[in-house]
Amino acid sequence: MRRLTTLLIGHLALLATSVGSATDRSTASEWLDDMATAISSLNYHGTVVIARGADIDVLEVFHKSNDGGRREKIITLNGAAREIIRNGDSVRCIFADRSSVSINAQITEGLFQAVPYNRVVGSNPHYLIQTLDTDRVAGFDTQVIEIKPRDGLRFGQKLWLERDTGMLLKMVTLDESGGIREQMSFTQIDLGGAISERDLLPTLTSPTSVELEITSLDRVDISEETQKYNLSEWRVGTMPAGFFMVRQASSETRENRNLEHLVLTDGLASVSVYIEAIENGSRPITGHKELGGLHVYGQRKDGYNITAIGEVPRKTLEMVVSSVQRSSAVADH
Amino acid sequence: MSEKQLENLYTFMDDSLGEHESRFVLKSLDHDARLRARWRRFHHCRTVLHEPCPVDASSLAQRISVLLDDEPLPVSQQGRQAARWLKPMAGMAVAASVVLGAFAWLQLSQPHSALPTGSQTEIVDSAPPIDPIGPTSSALFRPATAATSAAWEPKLQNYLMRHSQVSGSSQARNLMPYVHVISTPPTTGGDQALEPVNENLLPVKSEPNSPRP
Repeated sequence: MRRLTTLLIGHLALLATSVGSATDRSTASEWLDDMATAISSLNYHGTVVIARGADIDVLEVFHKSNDGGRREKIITLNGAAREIIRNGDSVRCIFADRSSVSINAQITEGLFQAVPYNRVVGSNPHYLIQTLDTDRVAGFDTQVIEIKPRDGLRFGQKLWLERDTGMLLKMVTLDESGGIREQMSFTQIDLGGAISERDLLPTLTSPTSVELEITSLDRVDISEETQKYNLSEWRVGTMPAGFFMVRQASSETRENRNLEHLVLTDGLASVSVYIEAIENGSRPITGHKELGGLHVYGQRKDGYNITAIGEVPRKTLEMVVSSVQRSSAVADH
Repeated sequence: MSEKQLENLYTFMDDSLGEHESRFVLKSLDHDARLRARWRRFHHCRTVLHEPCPVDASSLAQRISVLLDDEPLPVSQQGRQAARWLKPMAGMAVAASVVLGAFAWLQLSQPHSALPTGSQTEIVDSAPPIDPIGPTSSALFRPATAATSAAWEPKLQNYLMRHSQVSGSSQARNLMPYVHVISTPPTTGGDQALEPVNENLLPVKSEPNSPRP
């Protein structure tokens, strides 16, 4: 009898834990905290559809998390066959359709980044976070959380988080009028199941795979000496409300031209500004283009091509690009 | 406009044309107004796919069939005979598959299911505009697949790649930092390869220009 009672109590405790994880979250902030944890700590295997404008990409993703870090395999299911296999800091990219591979990106995180949204936007006066209704995604009950911008300078988001674990199952990026700019959704997902070693092995056979060691921008060691020299002559004159500059990078292009890269963020959205001299034979990027939630805007200015890319409305990019100026010009004023 | 050109254009639309031929088609699109017109008509069909209103399957199929009826099939001389009966069948088949695709898309995009509280939210068709950035117009006349963005000129791809990197860094948060990179693979090797990203990073330590939240 005593054993039966213990078993019963055990079952009740388990039930309370699994159901309680959903009901205990009373605020959107708590949901966002759980989302960040779930993204990085859960095992999952599923099919993701990503729609941006007219483009639709379908990916299969395997994600395994243990003490050794995050391991991941992403396979494109439409278009050209490609695989990205991550094992900790090592990323292997396989492109079956190419005779040679060149991917020099430093891919810092997995497909989904464990963003501490609550910390990033929780106290941000430019966003409002709220809990909306419940919904179903890929067969799972979800809670919808909205991150709503308070002005027209940034996009909003809606997140569908799995009720028990907080795992992100669907996300839409919304413009100022509520229109969908970009969306991601799992159409099928196995949450918390075992991911075998075999699942994480490459399935594409191609002589053109390449192994990359990842150097996260966060992990770049910047010496005191380097910090003394802020070599960039460029600055953004009119910063959109809530945005601040987080990085300035200077590099050389293949044509040995200097490329300045400024990065602004409001904590959630980011904007890259590129400044490159227009020389003979170089083709400046001018005008506006959009790809789902991503906007590009370029302008010529004083012999330079200034281009901004970001997950923000067009007017935000225009504001940034038109106000970019050399520090000397600022000093002259 | 030769039959071969048309054939290549249709294959290009399916994203099944080789790289060399693709370049040739892009060049032709730059110079041949009739070819461009044909290309636009194809996009017209695509536009039908992105109507946000509830769709009546039969009427959509009918409309697509009408559009396709105006499109001559790219067939060889010997194939013309067969094309007379093949064309309506192909039209119906394409229309049917397009309708299926449309419903799949609507299922994905339907605001009623996607946005629990938004009763009247529109689906925005944010397909890349026909007028591209810069003078390399032909580079953007690409099929509406994942390859669309791959056709961006290398410079823009390079910028995009760098942006994806910083989106994954500590202060610029993005839930899917490199999804653009996955679906926008770098161009092929040789002269199209992206340059290495070995930026000399200078993190800004000063206070932001505007008050931080």
